[in-house]
Amino acid sequence: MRLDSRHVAHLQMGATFLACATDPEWCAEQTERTLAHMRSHDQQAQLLSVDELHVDDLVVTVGFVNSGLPLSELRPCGDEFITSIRLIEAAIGAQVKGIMPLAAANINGIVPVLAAMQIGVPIVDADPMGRVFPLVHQNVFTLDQLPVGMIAATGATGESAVLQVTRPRRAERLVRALATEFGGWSATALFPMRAADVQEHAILGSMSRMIRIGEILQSSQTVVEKQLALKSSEGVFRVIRAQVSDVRGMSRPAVPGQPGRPASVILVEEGQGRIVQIEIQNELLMVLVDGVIVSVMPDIITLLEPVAGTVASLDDLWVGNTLDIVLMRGHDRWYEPDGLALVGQHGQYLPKRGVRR
Amino acid sequence: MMNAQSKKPDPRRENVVVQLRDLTSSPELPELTSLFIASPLHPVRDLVVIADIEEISGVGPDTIIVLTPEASSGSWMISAALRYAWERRACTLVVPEHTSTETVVDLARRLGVSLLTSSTEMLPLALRLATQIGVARAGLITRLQNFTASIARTADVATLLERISVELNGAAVRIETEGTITAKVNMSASTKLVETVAEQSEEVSVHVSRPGAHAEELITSVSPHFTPFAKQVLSASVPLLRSLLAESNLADLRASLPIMSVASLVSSAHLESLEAPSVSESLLAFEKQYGQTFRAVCILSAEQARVASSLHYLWANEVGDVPLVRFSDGWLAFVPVRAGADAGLLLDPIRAKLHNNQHLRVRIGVSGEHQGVVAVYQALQEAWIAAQVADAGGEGALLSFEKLAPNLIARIIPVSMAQQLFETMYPKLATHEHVHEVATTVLTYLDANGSMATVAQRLGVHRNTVQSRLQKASELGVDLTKFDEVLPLHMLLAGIQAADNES
Repeated sequence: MRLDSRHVAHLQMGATFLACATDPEWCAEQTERTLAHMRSHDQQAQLLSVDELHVDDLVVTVGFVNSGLPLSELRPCGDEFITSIRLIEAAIGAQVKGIMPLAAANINGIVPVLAAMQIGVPIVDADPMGRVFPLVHQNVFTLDQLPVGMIAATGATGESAVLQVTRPRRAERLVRALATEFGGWSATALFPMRAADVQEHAILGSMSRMIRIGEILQSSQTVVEKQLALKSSEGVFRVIRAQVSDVRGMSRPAVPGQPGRPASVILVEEGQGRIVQIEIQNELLMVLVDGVIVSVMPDIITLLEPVAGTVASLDDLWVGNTLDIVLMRGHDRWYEPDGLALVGQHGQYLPKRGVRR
Repeated sequence: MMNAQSKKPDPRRENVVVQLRDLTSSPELPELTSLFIASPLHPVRDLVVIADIEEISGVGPDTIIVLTPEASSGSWMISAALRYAWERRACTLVVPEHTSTETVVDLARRLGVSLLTSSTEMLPLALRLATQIGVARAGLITRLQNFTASIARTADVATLLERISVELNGAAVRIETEGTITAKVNMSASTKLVETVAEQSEEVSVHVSRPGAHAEELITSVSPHFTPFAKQVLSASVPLLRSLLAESNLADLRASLPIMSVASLVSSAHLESLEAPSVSESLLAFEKQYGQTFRAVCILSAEQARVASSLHYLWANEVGDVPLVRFSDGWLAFVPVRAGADAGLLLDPIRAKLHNNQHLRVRIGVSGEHQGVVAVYQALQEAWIAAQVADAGGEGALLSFEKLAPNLIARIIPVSMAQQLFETMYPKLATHEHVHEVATTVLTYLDANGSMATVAQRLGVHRNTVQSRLQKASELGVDLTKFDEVLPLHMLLAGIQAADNES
């Protein structure tokens, strides 16, 4: 499928929906950069399912990795991923035949489109997370104990580095450290693997899902119709509609070495007065209604504007604002014991038994 | 420190219930701060320390849950703990001070779970709480013992019921005999404990009477949390209550001895043919007691066993200390009155009570004013005759001998025969489609001594309607011009109406 400007806009909307708290500015910038390239080069990226590649084709995962600082401080100039991908090719001695996003949400869901056009390869409709997780090693490749392999990282100033890493946790620490040294973020290419391995281990269909979700949200349907369509298409359902009553910055200390910004937001349902509590640490982690945990990561929790039906960001969590809290189930892999253990590590304060629905 | 696993409550401690207020008001726990109290009377049966939030799911009801810092490091944990506590019907959640937020308090209020906090360490606090629970439990036993000791000096039933009510925070307490309330104490607003959250009440009762005797129960209504303690208090009161009731009955018996003597004489002498007996010692005692002016009261009932308790209660409330004595056909009493006083002073309250207790279906006759023992039998005759003529139940159930005449006619013909006689003597009228209207009009006409205006007013119809109905009666064989037929007709119609009233 050729991705035209509509698809890119839908992709951006879908990526922010699945982000569980997006950085809307950077997503918008990346989208604008992508669309500008499409206009100036009269070019469109191609989205392929993995089985359209040869089994031995080299596929690389690409994505921004930040150090926890605000991402908008140093803007990318646009060629960082080219550098990282070429470094991978040079290190491996093979040409990349396809790229896929590091996470099928947030900015990294949009990144492959521009990179694919710049390098001239298709985007593989797959990703290693199925949503966005804060740590690089929180992916299905880690669960399947695949080696990390080569990692190439390029920073805002053009500095780059190539790493050969075996253990995923080490990859997380090293790449995070590089991002810090590079000024806050690095454009990273990692997990080089054969298309056959992508077929076997990756989460398939994640790019097209973002486009589908974005298409629904950007349609001219009413909010109710949109929510029904999301429910029918993707299993998204609304938990509650409530008004923000309090925002607390520090509900618990961040785990050392983990991204920070923990927060707790309190909302009150207008009808029955139920007390809603959202736990946030870079993303929406958990939702409680009258003390009942109705959703917890790896569920995908999102906020929608009740009037327009568009995606709300953390900036919309101000006292008095009314929001719809919606959620959808993450990939099944994350609800298995090893998946929960992997993604719950940063959330050691999260309930072990998940939600009580 | 107690295991977080759920356990069955110890039956030995079931009846000794510590309440939350015993802990929150304990001077031994000054570091305990109440953020929200759902019910200070909530029973406390257990205490658990939770280090893992998941363990709350195993907590039993009426438990104090103490969260360690590990289990309350996130505000979501306290929210979830509150929810679990609500689901498990726990008593209270105790959290470290720095973890409590306004939201948590709001949620506690919404779920109705008490929330306490402390700035001290949770584990030592839990130990002190557990100690205080033991102290309070011991104190409760002492409280029961103190209560039992204090009521031992109580001299009458009413005071005992008041003491019980005070002990149960102003709860209403009553004695029921065969299902009829025979004594009660209303709730005192000043002594009733104001609770943070309104609770439903549950009835607690204990048997007072021994097996085989009239069923007497001591009953109160308290909040469900309070029932075990209330049962203990009531049970502790039963022995004394039993003796007080026996004393009261004995006192009543003594007070009624002279009248009982009269009653026994009456029973043996057959009231319908009374003659003044010779004076005996018991009658001399009666003279001493009732030498002043009095009225005799005779109460007749076809269901003496059923109405006895209610009647005694009504009598005691309205007439006070005058004893009511059983005889073969019912009860007798001699009520002292002020000479020349309006009989309504005595009769009106009783009449009103009868109106409100239609189920009693008694007939009460009151004599005229009399004085001295020589007038006893005349008084009894008057009261008995008036009772015989009174209606069974309703306002007409109480009849003064002085106002006997209007009722007399209706009682001359036995009600069982009235209808049969009517159909025999006035067949056309008896089978007419408007027999009820016509017969009622004729009877009212006779009661009103022929005054058309009076009849129209009593029946609520126009004079012409009255005239029309009387004309119809004449056509159906009722001749109101023949004097010798009028009296029997009057008695017959009055008898039928009396039969209708009784049915």
